[in-house]
Amino acid sequence: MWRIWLLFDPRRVLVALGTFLFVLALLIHFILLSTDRFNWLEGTSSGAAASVQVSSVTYERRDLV
Amino acid sequence: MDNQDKSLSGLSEQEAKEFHKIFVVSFIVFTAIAIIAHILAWQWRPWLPGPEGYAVIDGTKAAIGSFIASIS
Repeated sequence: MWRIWLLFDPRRVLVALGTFLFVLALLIHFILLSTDRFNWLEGTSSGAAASVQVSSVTYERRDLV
Repeated sequence: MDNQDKSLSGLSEQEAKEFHKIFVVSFIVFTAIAIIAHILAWQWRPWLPGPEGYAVIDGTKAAIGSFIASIS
């Protein structure tokens, strides 16, 4: 496996890998920030996601009773 | 011949082996940190909702929480 470095210049590989991983990380973070569930700065738009579900669960139980 | 001990990348076998060691260790460290980050992120909010959507996951957690609260 180490023979790969006889073919590819380590300096170029490191620069390419670093650039790729950085752009990928940036892309994923921005995609997550754009979603409602995974935005860690604003939180969810309708309060906590869990609290919304708590109310629906309790309503269901009231219907059953 | 000087070209015989130089490869396409310009590294000798010894240099390639040396760089490979560092690269493998760095890769393992990076992967380990990434795995830890994914475990923490999954604990915060799982990202595979299942057929019923996220409501089931969050609802189950909240239901367990409210159930425990109602007992105590």
